[in-house]
Amino acid sequence: MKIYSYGKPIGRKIGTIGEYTLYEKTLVKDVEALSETENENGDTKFNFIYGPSAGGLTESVLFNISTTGESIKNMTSNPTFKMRNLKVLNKKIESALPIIERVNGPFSAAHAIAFLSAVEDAAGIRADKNTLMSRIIEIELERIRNHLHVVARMCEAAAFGVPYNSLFYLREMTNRTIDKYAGHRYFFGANGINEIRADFSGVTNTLSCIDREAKDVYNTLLESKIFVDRLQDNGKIITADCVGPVARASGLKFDARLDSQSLPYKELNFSPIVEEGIVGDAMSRFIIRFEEIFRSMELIRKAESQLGRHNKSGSSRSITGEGIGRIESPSGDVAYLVKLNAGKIKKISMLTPSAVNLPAFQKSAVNNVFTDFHFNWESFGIWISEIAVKFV
Amino acid sequence: MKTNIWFLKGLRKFGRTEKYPAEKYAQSVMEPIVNSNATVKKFEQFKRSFYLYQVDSGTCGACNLELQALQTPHYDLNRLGLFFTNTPRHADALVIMGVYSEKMVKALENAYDAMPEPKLIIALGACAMSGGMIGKSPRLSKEAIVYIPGCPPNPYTILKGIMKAKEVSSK
Repeated sequence: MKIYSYGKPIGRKIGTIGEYTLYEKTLVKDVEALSETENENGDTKFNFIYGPSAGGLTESVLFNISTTGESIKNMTSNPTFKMRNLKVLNKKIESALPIIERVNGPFSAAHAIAFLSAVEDAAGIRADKNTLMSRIIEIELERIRNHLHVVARMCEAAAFGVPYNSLFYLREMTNRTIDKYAGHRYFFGANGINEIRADFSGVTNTLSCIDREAKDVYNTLLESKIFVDRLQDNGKIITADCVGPVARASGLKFDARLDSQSLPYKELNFSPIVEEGIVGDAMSRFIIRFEEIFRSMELIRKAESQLGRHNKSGSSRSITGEGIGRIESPSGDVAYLVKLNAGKIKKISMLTPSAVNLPAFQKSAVNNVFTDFHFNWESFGIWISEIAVKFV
Repeated sequence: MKTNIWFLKGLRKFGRTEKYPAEKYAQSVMEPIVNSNATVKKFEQFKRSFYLYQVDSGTCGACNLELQALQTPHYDLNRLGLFFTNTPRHADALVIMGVYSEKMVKALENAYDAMPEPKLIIALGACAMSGGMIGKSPRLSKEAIVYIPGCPPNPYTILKGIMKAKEVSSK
């Protein structure tokens, strides 16, 4: 060799030749090991960072997806980007309530009622029948709106414009119904201790058109083979570590309406809808959500017939003690544990369905088709706002 | 089976599919506030289409839903030349929602830097305007050209606010 010699690198690096690395003038014995970009099946993996702010995401959340392009091999999520500190400690209950309502706007009634149930538990107050039935109507209206939103987002992911618009139309109709009866589209300011600032007489009639049109869209979507094909076997998960429609779609009879004493669902002969047969995929969650819309309509009808006269509002001035309230929000159990001293909050802890269901979502995403990620994400109905929150 | 054709029902009336009952909901509809401190540049381009990119800095989720509601048949923002875009690189306006949160500062700044000139900011909701009852507002929202009040703002108020931002910067 006249031009090249063995030794240290001189000049630019050209590449690997046999067991050497070839430079402009030298051959160096330091062959770099090929980086492990392939797994045992020969699929090349790469990491796809989705979020925290990106089109298609309603809220700020980051997903780190390890994928081969076709299927998801692993996924982690970071829901802490939009972390909020809510100042409720040492505040009076009346001052803290508007902030609790804003833990999660879409589930505002569920959060407010769970919190108030905990306060009433601490005070030893049992709310009167009118308040309890009105609270059931509020939560069921919220469930209808949320489920319409979730299934509409699933249609959007499939680029199904007509059902997407129809369902969003119905969601807006539900919002206007809530506005009409409760004075606010998100129930802000509608609740108090043994108090309800809304009159739901006649709400069933207003909802009848939503019921009819939602059934039309549901039946049409079930006939669409393209839509059903993208949901079936997508995001399959069967675990007891989940709550709400996710658990019921996995064949589990988990429902706070059945096993919590905070609201009198038993008086309405409530029974939850649980998926049977092939369970635990996005299709099951889609079916459960639609069926629950119609079940909620029934519950509202029954609760409205039991509305009575309101007795007396409660006062928070002297409440001291510890209480817990648990409610079935549209996505599952939401619970509050509060410690009160002379009507002020000394300690408060919260359990939210989104925080419970997020790990289940992460597990369910593995080995799914990458492009079907959105169907699975939307089917879980997770709200980051109730995860990324701290009480201070 | 009955066909669900809401859009045909509207057409049969030879009018718009849905007219917003503004009188009925007048209480919830508020006037957007123009930020007099913001530097207003005149952008002829905004007389036509107007693309929006939204960033959630720390919301309760209600503002997100109300902004999304603009896509529903009731409001149909496209008829006014307004569109949502999935990337800040195609956006004319950055819509900021929610309170200040430390981790979102970088994301907000990156999104604004990625937008092509001319560009402007719209602050949506009480939290983005002043922090509301939760915290303080994001730093970037101080440069907003228009503030859209409400907790959350009614979709009709949002539409008004966006049109106002377009109008102020085009006059």
